[in-house]
Amino acid sequence: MRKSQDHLSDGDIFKLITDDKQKGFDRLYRKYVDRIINYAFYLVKKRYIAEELTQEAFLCAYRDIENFRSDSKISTWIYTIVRNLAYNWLKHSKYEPKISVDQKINLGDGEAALIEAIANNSLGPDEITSKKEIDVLLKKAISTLEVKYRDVIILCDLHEFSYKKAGEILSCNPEAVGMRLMRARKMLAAVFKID
Amino acid sequence: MEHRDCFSKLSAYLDKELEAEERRRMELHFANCFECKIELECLKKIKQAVNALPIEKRSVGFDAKMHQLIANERIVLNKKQQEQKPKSTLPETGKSIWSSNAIKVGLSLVAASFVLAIGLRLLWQPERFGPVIIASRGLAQVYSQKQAKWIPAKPGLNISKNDQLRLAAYAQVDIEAKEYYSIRVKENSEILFIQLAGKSNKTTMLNVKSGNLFIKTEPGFKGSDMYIKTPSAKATVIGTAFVLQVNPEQNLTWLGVLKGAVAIEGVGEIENTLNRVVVSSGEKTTIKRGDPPALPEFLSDKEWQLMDELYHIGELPQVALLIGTSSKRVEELMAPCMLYVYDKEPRTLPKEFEDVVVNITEAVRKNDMSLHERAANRLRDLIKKYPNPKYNVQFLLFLGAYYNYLDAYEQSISCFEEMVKDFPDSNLVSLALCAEAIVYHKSLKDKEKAVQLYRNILDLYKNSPEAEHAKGAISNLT
Repeated sequence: MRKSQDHLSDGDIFKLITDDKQKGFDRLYRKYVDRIINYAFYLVKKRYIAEELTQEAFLCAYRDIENFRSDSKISTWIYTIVRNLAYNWLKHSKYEPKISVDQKINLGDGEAALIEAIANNSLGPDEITSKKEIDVLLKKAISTLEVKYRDVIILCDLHEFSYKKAGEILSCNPEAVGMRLMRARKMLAAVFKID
Repeated sequence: MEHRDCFSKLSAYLDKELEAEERRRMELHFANCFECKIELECLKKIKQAVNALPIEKRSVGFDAKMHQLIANERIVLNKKQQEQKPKSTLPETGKSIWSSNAIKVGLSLVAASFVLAIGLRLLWQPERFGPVIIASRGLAQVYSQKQAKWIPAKPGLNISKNDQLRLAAYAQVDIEAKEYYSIRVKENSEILFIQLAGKSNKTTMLNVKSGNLFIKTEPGFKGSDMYIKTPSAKATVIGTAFVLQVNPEQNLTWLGVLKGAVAIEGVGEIENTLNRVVVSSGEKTTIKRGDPPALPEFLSDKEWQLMDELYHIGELPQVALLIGTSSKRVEELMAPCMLYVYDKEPRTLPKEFEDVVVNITEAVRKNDMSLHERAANRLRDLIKKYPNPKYNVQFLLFLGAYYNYLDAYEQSISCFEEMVKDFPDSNLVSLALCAEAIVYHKSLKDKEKAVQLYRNILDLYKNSPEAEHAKGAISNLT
């Protein structure tokens, strides 16, 4: 995952919040805004909805930031807010396909070569166009997963959360995160015929 | 390790989520299990592919919208805080608090002139299209092109094209172009009105050489243009409320926006494509001459408080010390002076302050020191009970002088010290220091402490009206 340009640690941001609410919020926003939009996008699958939910999440965070009392959980806190908003939105929209673990996802005939490339991990530096196409395919594959699997794979594999922190966001224990993540990865592997 | 157990923990192994012992046992199992090895490789490829997905940047305008939402939230929060403050029930006419019979003699005269000034301000309505001075205090002058001379910047004075406005230390001028915009110009400012919006054109152009400006556009501004030039920047106003600070010594321009947006660009030889930034509500930027503007950042809490003044352009203070702006103001304060509390909607002073007015009036009438003391202590309690940054400066200064009059020197000093400590940015800090020095010097006969305070004034506030007093006092005492 591309690292954020803001290298301030969560502890530093927490200190800033206690000293100057506005400045602390500014750094929190700059560090996490793109990641939060990205996370929300994989949950709701619509860019404009993801951006609206992100704005709502940061507004909620702004209202409540003075009551925030733990530096170690600042990232999980903002992720949890947007997750709750996204699940609430999904609950009220009828836009959630269900795919079972064993179900294969059809991506189209012309994509076989790219699937091969990703399966063989054989992308060279000159294949940027192919990489972009693979990204599109991969996003498409992730978007067809059930939300709980999209959720865990984005948190752990793209946003690099530990099982413990992902568990805090998903309200489950680290072991459950591991199990769910394995299933999600297997489903994607099935799509790409990696075996 | 059993195959089933190992297989179920492959993801955890891949993500280094297992204890060392368990990892070792799994690795032993891999040596003999081809299926687990293949599955692990497959999971690894998926993890790498997902990890390599890009995180796109937010869309253009996202930050602006976010900042607008935060700014709105700030306004709502501020309003809520204001509503929670107790309402006053002061009577319709103004009330004065005084603490000396000597001053009582002049009371009706001064109060009458004060009320008259307010009355004039309210009755007078600008008829002309264009900027007019609606309130002013301290030494401020306008260079009138028509009259070809400097004239005092008094309420009612129309400002014309190419007129110039300059303000000395501690001065303040509020200007209003009816239904278009209002501007508060703070001390040490110098502005040239290059172009003014009129019936035929809709462009206003200002050249700010130095100083601080609070600018708020009104609904009628829509469709008009306003450009502001400073030595280091050029700003284009896009319907807004903002503060511009120009420091000519450091060639710096600071811009903070409360509502709407202001586009700002650096001037001079700048080789940078990012020379123009749009500063949205809740944001600030700084520009040094020859450099492009810094990327906008959120305003700090202190800066937000500064912005609050934008909502008070044209307003007169609800609580005022009746002292001048000359170097004699400290003597006027320690006389002690009158504190004028006038009634105004919406009332923001609690009813208890009205009761203290009655208490002090009674103490003066009966010339009873115990009543005086009781009234002063009650006012002290009220200041603590209702901390209001808008009025506490005046209340604390008044009370410091009042306690000194009552020979309660410790309390007097504590009031002045509290004012200096709590309001270090107030332009009355030098007055509080000087008043404290007078208490040490004349009442407590502590020359050393008094000299120390006078020296502080000369070091930190050498341009203040108190500097002259401090200089004279030091030469007398040393």
